[in-house]
Amino acid sequence: MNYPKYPLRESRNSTLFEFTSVGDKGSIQKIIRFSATESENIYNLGFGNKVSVVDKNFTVDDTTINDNGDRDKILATIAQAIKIFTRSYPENYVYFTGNSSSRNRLYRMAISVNLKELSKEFVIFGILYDGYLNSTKVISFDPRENFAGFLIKRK
Amino acid sequence: MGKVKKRTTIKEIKDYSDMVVTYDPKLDGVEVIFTSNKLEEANKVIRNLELPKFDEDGNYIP
Repeated sequence: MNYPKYPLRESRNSTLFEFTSVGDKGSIQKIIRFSATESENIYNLGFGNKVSVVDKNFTVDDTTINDNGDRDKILATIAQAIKIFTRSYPENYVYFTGNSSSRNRLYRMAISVNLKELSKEFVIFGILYDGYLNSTKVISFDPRENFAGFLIKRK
Repeated sequence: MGKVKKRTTIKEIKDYSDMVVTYDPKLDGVEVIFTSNKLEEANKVIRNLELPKFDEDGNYIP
């Protein structure tokens, strides 16, 4: 993804990243966190605004949409963080999902547009989730499907 | 034998050709609390997820 990106700052273990979004509404501190989940080898990608810091505790708002006018640059920056994380942990999957169906559509479109390039380095899957049956199914990424979430892993 | 990743200090820049990333020690040991419960939601979805299978060459088996 040869888009402009923000410079990233990272923790030593490459599970926490910070960058500054600069746009129409000013400068906003952003956090990307790769968190272990209950499933071995799957890390959840969390992302949002750093709203407070107390000692070594960051509170991150991952529900607000800022409309800072730099959506594509932010997506490209998150993609960079995924690249860095998966270089350190190539055996792990990264799981991510949006807060809404429209946000998931955005992620789906971003992956679709860049699928050819992303596929050189990653295998990408979508998760179909049936909340009624509480069942999940993983399939290869398909731009036509409405996925509940995405799994990505380095080849 | 894999290439060992070189660690950098905060003033150094890692060159991954198209990446600009610096190590920031202030991020070490940080606990992150998200305002949503997305991690919990993620665990619900992936709790019983059957991960994709790959052959010996690393090719995905649909």
